[in-house]
Amino acid sequence: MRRLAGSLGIALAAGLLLGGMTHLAIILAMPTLAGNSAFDRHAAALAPGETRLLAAQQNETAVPFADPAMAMAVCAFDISDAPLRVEAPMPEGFGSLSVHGRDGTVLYSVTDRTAVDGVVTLIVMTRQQHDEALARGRGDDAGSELRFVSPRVQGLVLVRALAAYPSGLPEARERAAAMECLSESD
Amino acid sequence: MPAILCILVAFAIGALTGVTSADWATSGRPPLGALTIGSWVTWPALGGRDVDPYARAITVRSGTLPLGAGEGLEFLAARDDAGRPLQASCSYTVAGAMPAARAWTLTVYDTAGKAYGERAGFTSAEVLRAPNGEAQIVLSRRASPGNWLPLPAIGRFVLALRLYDSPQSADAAAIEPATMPRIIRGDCS
Repeated sequence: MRRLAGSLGIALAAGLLLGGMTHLAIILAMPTLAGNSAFDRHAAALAPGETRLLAAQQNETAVPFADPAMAMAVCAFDISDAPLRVEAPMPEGFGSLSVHGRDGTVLYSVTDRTAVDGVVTLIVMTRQQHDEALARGRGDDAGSELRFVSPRVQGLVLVRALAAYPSGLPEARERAAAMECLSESD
Repeated sequence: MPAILCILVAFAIGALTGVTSADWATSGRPPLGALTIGSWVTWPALGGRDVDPYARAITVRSGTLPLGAGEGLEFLAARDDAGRPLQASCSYTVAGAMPAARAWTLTVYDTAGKAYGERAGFTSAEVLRAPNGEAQIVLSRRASPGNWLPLPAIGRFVLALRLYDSPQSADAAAIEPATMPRIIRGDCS
């Protein structure tokens, strides 16, 4: 009887230990395994340079807890070959731009305060591409563009345009969809 | 007990507790790093790169696109000022000061994060204000004059307050509870 209880205790302790390890493994593996991230759902199928509008309420393009007053558009990027150049026209009211990794977490974000002539220009580049651009001495137009050294090679760029009134939503959506994402291969 | 049975029991317990606890920990809101101000909760780390593994797993699993710290601040509320859960069968008044921001929006969601109905929220530009500049927003199933947001027929709901381009987003912990709007419960039916 005592031996049975002893071996059951050992099995229980070993089981809980295994459970803890399984728990940690699942949490850490989730970003690579789950196919439900915003990138997988909205950006993975986009062609290079393609911009897609997202909606807060329509089903296929729905983002949970998205602001219905906000028009949103995304484009996907893969900067392993060349940097990405994003030109996003900003709306009259509030607009912003954010760079997300494949797992959906925010890497970088700016508001329309950084816009020059109503357009936010953002270059997403790797550390190496950034160093090469500096070495080539292309610092002359740096005043009108933002350079972001991305820790991730793949991800998505999201533009938000606020419609202060529901009647302004079509215009805000048009503005968001006008974001251009071009690979800067030269 | 034979050794093989012992090992099988250990593996069964391991798989069961591991999978269920991981599922539980990633199905709701991030368990770490929450900042509570009155009834409002925010996760400042979600807006930047220093995301803990739980918050990362939750972001992946839910498919959300968090608001960046450079863009603004996002607060959620699932409880009223007295700590009671927000129920669609009650009416609520959201009133009081708003923290400084270029624009704010207040939105009603169901618990899965779907915005409710045609009129799910207000922006700071469209609310009617009292002479002192404060806005009072009524949430109820029955229509009411003034700033009114409809609630779903049954169940619980979640409120989101977003502050766009807020000087507070650099240090959300410095926001005083008195500068956040209050959620006051009215009649229930």
